[in-house]
Amino acid sequence: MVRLDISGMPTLEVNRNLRELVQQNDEIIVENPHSVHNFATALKGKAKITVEGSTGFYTGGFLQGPTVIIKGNTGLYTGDNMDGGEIIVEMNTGSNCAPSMAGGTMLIKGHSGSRAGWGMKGGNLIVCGNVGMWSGKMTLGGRIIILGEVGMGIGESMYGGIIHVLDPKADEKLGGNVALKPIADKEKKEVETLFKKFAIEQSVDSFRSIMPKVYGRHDYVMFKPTHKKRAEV
Amino acid sequence: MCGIAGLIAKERSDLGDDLVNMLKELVHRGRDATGVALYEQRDDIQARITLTDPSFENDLHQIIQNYGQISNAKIYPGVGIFTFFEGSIAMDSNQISQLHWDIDSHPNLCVHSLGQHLKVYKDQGSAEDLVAVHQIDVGDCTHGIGHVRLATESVENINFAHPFVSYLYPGLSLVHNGQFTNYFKMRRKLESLGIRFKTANDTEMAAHFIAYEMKEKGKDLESALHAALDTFDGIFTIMVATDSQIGAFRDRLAFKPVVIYEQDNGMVLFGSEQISLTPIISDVYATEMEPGGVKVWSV
Repeated sequence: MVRLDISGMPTLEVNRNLRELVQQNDEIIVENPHSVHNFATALKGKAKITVEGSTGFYTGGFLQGPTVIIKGNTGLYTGDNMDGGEIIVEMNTGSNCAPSMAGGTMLIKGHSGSRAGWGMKGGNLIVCGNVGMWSGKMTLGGRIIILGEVGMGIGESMYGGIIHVLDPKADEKLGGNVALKPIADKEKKEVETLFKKFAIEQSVDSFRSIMPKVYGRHDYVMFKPTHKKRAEV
Repeated sequence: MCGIAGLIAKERSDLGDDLVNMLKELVHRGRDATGVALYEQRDDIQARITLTDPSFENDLHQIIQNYGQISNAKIYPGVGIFTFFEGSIAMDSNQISQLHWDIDSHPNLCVHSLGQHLKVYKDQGSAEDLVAVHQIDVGDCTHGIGHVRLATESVENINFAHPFVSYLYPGLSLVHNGQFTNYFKMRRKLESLGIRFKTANDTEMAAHFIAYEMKEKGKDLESALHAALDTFDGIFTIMVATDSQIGAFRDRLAFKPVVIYEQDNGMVLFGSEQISLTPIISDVYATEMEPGGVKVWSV
């Protein structure tokens, strides 16, 4: 285990130090993060990085293996284009978490903002609190699990993937081109495995799943004008 | 980009400083100009006016003396080329609109605020620059709105900076994050109704439109904001303050952000980003306003 104090350190240097430390250590504790932007970007390896505080925008972008635990909050675009590994946020994140995420798991123990999991392609996003509007918009793949309330337009224009929600009012806030169905047995098992791994105490029975109505391309509806006779106008 | 912030808090004694601190956190969203509109609890009429040159002070005094006596007047240079006048005027409150019109008729004078409660402090640069040059001299305030500008529309001139006021409805101030795409159409329409524009900034149109809806059509703030949402085209997240209310509304695609946090004791915080709330209160879950949303808070 090694401790790294990044107070006043430029972002480039923070990430350069982390890249070196990840090669030689199993556990890294980062002190005084002071909401540094672009923290732990494009890191490879298997180390566990614990941040004692909050980080800023684009935390864990392009992450490819390590586990990053943030004890505080994170800013916008947490886990941008994440490829693998884990990001665990103990408090809240800003909007647009896990955009275009391709692999790995992100667990948010607090709330997240709007457009959570926007354009996700793979991996898992678990939000224990609430999410804002247009979460899971234009998702291509992967799994989003939301334990709290969802905002309007959830799953708007999804192409693929699945969103599991507990919010009893989810049907009122559903986006276009998606269907809300009871959770299937196969999905229950997969969600249970994830919950067990991250010690989340929540029954999976009352979840419902949101998925695209049509997989692949949207149904294209030709515009048909309706003609009225002049006398009727 | 631009950033907006707002605060309703009766119990905080230094609301002006609070609002400036909120804007300091938004400095990355724009540093062309910074402005705050504060609503003070007082009875006399306050004026804040810019002069392109100190030599126009006599012209200003002549205009104001047709309406009443000036007291506590001070004149001082701003951050840039403009000179600022501040003072209180003993006059009939029914004539505020007419005085506002008369001062704005002078090509070298521009009213930043004129009214019983409202005081607008705006100048070029960041919030740090604003407080370095302007002494934000206000008593107990109830609410206020603020703006940091990254000029995308019209020129970089402090008279074109936010918050905007309208001579039609004294006490109304408005901050806007975004751009209107039907500005010229709306401006021609309002000009045909006899409304005069002082600047070429698109946000002035919004201030006059809402003021017109409230003054001439007798609407309350909420219905005026609904009318504005239906009429304006483009990208906008707007906060409007009057002597007793703050209203906010957003375009239907929600391009520009605003987060809101309401506390049980009646304190309401508004900001473009969560970080702007942190000088007042940290680690709270502020909710983003929904697209096409209109909401009004009473002070």
